[in-house]
Formats: sequence, C-alpha cells, structure tokens
Amino acid sequence: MCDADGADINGLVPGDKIIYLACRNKNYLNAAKDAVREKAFEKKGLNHTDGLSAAFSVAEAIQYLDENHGVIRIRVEDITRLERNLEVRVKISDPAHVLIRNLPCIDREAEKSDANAVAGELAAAAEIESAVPVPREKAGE
Amino acid sequence: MSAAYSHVMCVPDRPTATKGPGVFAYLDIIERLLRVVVDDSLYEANEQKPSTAVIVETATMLGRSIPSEYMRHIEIDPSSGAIDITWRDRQLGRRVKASFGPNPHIFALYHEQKDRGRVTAHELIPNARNAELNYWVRWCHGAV
Repeated sequence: MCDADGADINGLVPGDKIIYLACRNKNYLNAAKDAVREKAFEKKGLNHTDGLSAAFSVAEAIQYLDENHGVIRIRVEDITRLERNLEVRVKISDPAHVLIRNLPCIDREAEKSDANAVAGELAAAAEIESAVPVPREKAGE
Repeated sequence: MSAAYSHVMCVPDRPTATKGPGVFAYLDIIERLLRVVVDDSLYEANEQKPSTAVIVETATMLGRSIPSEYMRHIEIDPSSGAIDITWRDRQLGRRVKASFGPNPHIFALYHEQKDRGRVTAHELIPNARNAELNYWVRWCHGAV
C-alpha cells in the first residue's frame, strides 16, 4: 500500500454509510451500462497518494470534476467486510469527502496482482447510481 | 482519426500481413484498438496514450495467440501508455487481463477466479508468453 502517512484523514466512516464515486472515465462502467468495472477501483500510487476519493453524496462526488461519465455507489461495510485491511476515512480538510485507504497500487509491480483482485471485489460490490453523466447543477436535486 | 496514429494501418512488411485470413483479423484488431485509443473520454487528465509500437505489437500478439471466437467480446482499456485487454466469463467467475506496454515487447498477464464476488485465486505473470496468453484465455472460457 502506498497511502501517505499523516495524511489529510480523520475518523472511520460507519459501515452503514453509502459513498459515491464519480466515473472519471467512460470505462468505469461496462458497455451495457449495467455493471461497474474494476477500473473504477484501480488506485494508482502516483495519482492517489492519500487513497481513493469518494463522497457522501452524488453532488459532492462530482463537485470538482469538469466532466463525469456517471456515478457509482458502494456501502462502506461492503468495503471493510472484504477483510483486506481497507478503511474508509473522512478527510479533515473536506468532511464531505472520504478516502478509501490501504488499497494496493495497480502501478506498483509488487502490488499489481492484489490491486487487480481487490478492484474486482469492489467492482462486484458496487452499484451504478447513474449510468449517464450527472450535470453539476442538477446533482443536488 | 488522430494524425498521430494515421500510419498504423499501413504495416506492409509484418509476417501476418502475408497470410490471407490473418490479414483481415489483424486489421480488424488494429481498427478496434485505434477506435479506443483515440477516444479522449477514456483517459484521465495528463494520462499517457499508448504508442504506435504498443498498438501494433498488441494486435500482432493477439492475432497470433487468440482464436477469433475469443476476440468478439474483449474489453479494451488504454492505461498509462499501455493497452489492457480483458476477457471475462461471468458464469464461471473468471477474468483474464493482458496488459500490453508501455514497453511494446512485454506484456503482463493477470487471471483470477471469483466465487460469489470474492477472488479465491489470482496470479500475475509479469513477462508472459503467447502460449500462456492462449492458455489462460481458453481457461477463462472453460475450454481447458
């Protein structure tokens, strides 16, 4: 795992919470738009130094993106029950956003196999909140 | 089509180009790869696109190693200068992913077995061979 220590992180998010991830890439969903693909949960150590970002609402998930290709959701307990030492923590600087921590990095040779496996399990547990781009001005409705 | 890749379709001297049916299969793969690689919506900010060499070598290796019936439902993802090709069988709970590039002469091969959403076995072969790619794709679809 390559998450930075002493990062912008706070307490653990309760298991019954649902978190939302924006689809930054058209291939986060399959071609039929009825399943989440592993790519949505592939953490790159260079890009995601603190963990994989998510939020407590659709509006907050897409807040900082110029464009998105939909939104996916996952329950926190579906992440932690995988028994892969994954944590979901609130960001200190932005309590509306959370970080999925301790994901193995897909761009580190020693972690690649585990990263693929974990991404597969998370994708299987996740659901599609929106299969189409969510406009920022409508996300809060 | 992006000017950066416009010459990829002209590959006159490759061995596969001299064989009848192989030519069309090869060109079909190239076209499918190009259609994905030039799609900007498949990249995150500043993400590197695969080189021409990666595209050509990917198509060559797939053309040599994978029977056409296993090419129909592949998933293609550009990824930080590489091209990921995924095969999956949801009924069997199997997934195979070959990552070609950024070094065009090397590909990594990942395969996993899932049971009720949990990965029960997985392996990454960092410098795989064509025979291994063929074997694990056939395994994915229950043919071995």
